[in-house]
Amino acid sequence: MANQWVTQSKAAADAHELKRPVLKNCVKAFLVGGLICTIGQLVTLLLILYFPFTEQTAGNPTVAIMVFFSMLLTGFGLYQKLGQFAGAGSAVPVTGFGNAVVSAAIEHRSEGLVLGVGGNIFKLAGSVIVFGVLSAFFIALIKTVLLQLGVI
Amino acid sequence: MKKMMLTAISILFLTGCAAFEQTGPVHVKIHDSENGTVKEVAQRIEDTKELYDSVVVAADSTLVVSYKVKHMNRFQMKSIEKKMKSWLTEKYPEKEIVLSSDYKIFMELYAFSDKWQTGELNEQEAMDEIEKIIKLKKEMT
Repeated sequence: MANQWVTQSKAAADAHELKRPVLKNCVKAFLVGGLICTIGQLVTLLLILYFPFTEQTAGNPTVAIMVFFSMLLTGFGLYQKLGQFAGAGSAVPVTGFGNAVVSAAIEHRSEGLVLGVGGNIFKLAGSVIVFGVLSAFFIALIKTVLLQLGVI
Repeated sequence: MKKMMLTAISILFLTGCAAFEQTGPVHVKIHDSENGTVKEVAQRIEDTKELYDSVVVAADSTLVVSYKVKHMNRFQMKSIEKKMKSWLTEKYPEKEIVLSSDYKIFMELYAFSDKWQTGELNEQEAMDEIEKIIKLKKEMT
């Protein structure tokens, strides 16, 4: 009886629910994500042209600069608007990491500097760091074993 | 706002094009005995159809080669480099060989060749410059 009621009400709710525009969201994410990456490429090119970085070494400072940009934009309240529009397009590139760190810090500012900001700043971005370090460790382990065995 | 966007986009495109423009090929020999070496290496790069621009600098102890890879061939960059490297080491076993497809190295070598050809550098200074470029190439992080 209860089960029937659930299916009925679900069908009634589905009839009123707006359909999710998946394709439109994908296109938006693609364009904005691509634009962010183009800006990153420009930063790399500027580092190569005007500073003593090679293509090999320009990667790390580029990541740092992009994260810094997104931190500034989050602080000014602009990155949220971009995230509203682009969804995953603004969250997946490394700029999303900066946004996650700073937005958590702003959110918990009212609880104080140590327990509020310090305790919660990596609330969202912490998993990125944990799984980044973990996967780097395992890949290094696999590479070391393969090198010792003489496969590569 | 629209004007600003347009300017920003055109600047992005223009800087993108400038980096991949052909500027060379440039061949520099520091010592006169390396005339043949430079010609041979340059010919080899010319014959490799995946490459399109090159700077070859030859001294009697070192040989520095930089080239640009055509866009669609950049997926095979590693194998191209391997092939060139093995060919060079086989051909000139007594030289220190530095091979790079890095744009920065290309630019630095190009600037160096400009300076050398206008006669700004003497032989010792030139060798120091080459040493500096090799050091830059070997940097990994």
